[in-house]
Amino acid sequence: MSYVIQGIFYFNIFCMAYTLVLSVQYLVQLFLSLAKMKRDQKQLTSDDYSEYADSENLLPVSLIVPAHNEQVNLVNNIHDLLHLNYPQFEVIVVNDGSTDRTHEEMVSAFQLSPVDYAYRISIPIQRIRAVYVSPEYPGLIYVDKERGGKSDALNAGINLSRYPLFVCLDADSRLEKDAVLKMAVEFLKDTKTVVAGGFVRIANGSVIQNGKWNSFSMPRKMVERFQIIEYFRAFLSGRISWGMTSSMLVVSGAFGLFNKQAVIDCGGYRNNTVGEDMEIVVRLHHFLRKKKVKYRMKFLEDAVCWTQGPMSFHDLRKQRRRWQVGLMDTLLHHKGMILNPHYGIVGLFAVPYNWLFEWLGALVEVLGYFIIPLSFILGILSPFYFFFFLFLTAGLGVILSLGGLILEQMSNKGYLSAKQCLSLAKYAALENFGYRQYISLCRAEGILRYGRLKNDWGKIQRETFDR
Amino acid sequence: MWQYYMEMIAFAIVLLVIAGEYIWLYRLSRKQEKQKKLFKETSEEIDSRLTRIFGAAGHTEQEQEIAGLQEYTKDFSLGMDILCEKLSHLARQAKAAGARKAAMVRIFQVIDPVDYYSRQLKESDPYRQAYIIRKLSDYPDAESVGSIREFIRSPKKVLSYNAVMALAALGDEDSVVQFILNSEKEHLYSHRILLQILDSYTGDIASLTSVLLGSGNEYVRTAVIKGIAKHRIRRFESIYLLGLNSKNVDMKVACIRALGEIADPSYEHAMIVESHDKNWVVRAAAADALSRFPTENSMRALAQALSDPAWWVRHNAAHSLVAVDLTGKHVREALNQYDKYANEALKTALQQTASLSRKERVDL
Repeated sequence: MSYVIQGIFYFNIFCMAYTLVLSVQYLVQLFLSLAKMKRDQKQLTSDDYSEYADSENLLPVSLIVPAHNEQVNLVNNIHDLLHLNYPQFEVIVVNDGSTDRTHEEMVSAFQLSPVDYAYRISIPIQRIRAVYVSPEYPGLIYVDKERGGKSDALNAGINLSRYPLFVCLDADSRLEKDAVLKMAVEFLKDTKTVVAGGFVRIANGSVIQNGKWNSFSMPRKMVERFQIIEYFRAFLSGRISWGMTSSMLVVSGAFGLFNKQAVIDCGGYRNNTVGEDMEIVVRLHHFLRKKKVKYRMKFLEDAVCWTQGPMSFHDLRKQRRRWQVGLMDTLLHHKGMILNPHYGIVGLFAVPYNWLFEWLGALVEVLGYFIIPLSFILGILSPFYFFFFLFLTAGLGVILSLGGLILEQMSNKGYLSAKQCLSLAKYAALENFGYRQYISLCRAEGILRYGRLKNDWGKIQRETFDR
Repeated sequence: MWQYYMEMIAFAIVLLVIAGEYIWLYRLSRKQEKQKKLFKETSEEIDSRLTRIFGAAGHTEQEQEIAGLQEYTKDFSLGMDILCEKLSHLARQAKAAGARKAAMVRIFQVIDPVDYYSRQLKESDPYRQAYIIRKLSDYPDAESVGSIREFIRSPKKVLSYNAVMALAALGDEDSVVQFILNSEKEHLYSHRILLQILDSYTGDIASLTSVLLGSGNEYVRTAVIKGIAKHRIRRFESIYLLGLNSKNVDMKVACIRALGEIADPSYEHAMIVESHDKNWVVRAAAADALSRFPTENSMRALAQALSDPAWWVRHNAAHSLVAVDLTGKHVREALNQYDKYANEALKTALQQTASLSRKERVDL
């Protein structure tokens, strides 16, 4: 029994130390992001991306939209994409074996007809049933293929694409009109750029029409409000800081701009993973560093894509579980990179960080939720330390969440009024009392049920953007 | 005891930081709202004043309104920025007739945006300076060029980049040459930035090209040839023809494009020869260039290129053949042959051309 009590006692110490270290490194990320955001805001005044809006010198882009059972939003989204502010682009919609009316809606809405279409098989894919084009929309290519998963659909889009850059988009994402333009100019101004990630914002509560944000009203459900705060923290704090050293391990699958040849060279998107967005980025790091190619991966908080967050805790659970499974899958697949100096800052810091904090963190937190209160009840942990630890953890969490909101306000996009911002600030505090714990539980579930959930995407309910 | 005090201090710090963040957030939000409101009000006020100026009944009234506008924007940098932006926009629209044009000239004389921006160039923030440099390019005069020139050699890339873009728009050959020749050493920027500079250049492009082709290294020469191809400058034909023998694939491709744009019949043979080059990039460029030579020889070469092992060569050959084969003879022949890849390439090209044509008709 004394061993058990000793074990619990040492776990408490470990848990507290771990949480403190995690919080401190999040704080460091936050400070770095604040500094970079301040500089970026000044830089935006000199930004001349709009000068390239009708320039034939901009690299043409293929926008690849994999779709599986996306009848709700797909047609409207594609209409918006076709009006993107970009000189030369094509939109490739890949219907990945949908069983709903996705195919019928697309064919009808865009007057599509099947054609013989020449394309290269740069990456192996499942059979393509037919390729469709539309006389009214010459920039649109619609691919109907057999189910192969999102990675397979993206690879099909890459095979069919004509252009040197491609954007991977979710079928339910809405790009802002200038988003691709802002990212593509980076490829001109820095030839080493291979990947540029944009800022994915939660659209719940916002009305987005014709590629422009229209208005925002506080979403009805708490789960949506918490996600807004969480995305600010994750993107504006996490990605900005990792982007500073080109060592981010993930570019959101909802919106990322890639050098197509680099992706083809490293084999394209890997099938049989639910974390294809992270896996391709890590694989690019792996491949390019192995080849000793100098490269950059950038995060541009000014290039915005809107996506719908899950609107129920049930759907949220599916999503966060999947993200954790994807993380674990990717880290396991590239375990050779960990602490390997051949992979530079990615191998020495980014990958170990993800193992220690993003992966292990879920388990440590969840164990802590049970063992620490148990220690208190059993008298192993004094009340003073118990409440101190609780307060410190919650307090640091509130600091980080508010930091995300401050970063959002510093970005000066004007999406939130002062009243809305301050209202959201309440949720920045509240999310540390229940919501974050729920997310940790979902993530832990993803780890513990990794084997069963490895290929489970989980269907999430969507609404239309235009309400 | 000391532990207790340390912990109390930790509590206090956390609470203070949280309180500080709330206050910071509140102030940021209010500041943003105020800025948004001020911007809107200033913009509306300036619009209203400009409307009164353009609608003024007589010269005296107009002068009074212009003086009022000057007074309004004096020592008000936001107002001045908005006003200059609106004036540039109006000047770009530029087909203002008679009285409105005269009013705009008078406003420019009184407000003197060039003087305002030139004074602003003394700011220490390089991004603000870069912004000002770009704004000055809207006002083509010697003072603007003089103010911007010193930044062309700036070690801060944001300044040198914006300076060269502005000076290209102002037609300053010396500065553009200086920047482009400096870019030889570090290929930070894509060659497409050099192309963008050449596209923005409003001076004598032939003179600029002459200097760059004479002084630049192969990287610069290749980019320049590619950039000026669409201008069809025959003066450099001998350089293009020499470039076809280059070992540098990019140079060959640039020269093929330039000769293709000129489309002199005497170059057809050279294009056909290049369509058999061992490098697929060169063959693809040649196949694309042959679309400007609507002759039997050219069409036969393109039909042959439809069976090329490289996708891009087949793709370009198909599009070119569809473009030049007005009778459809070679297209039909190629479609009837047993070559799955040639068939696919042609059908795709036909489909895309039909779609584009329909869209152009719809747009018209």
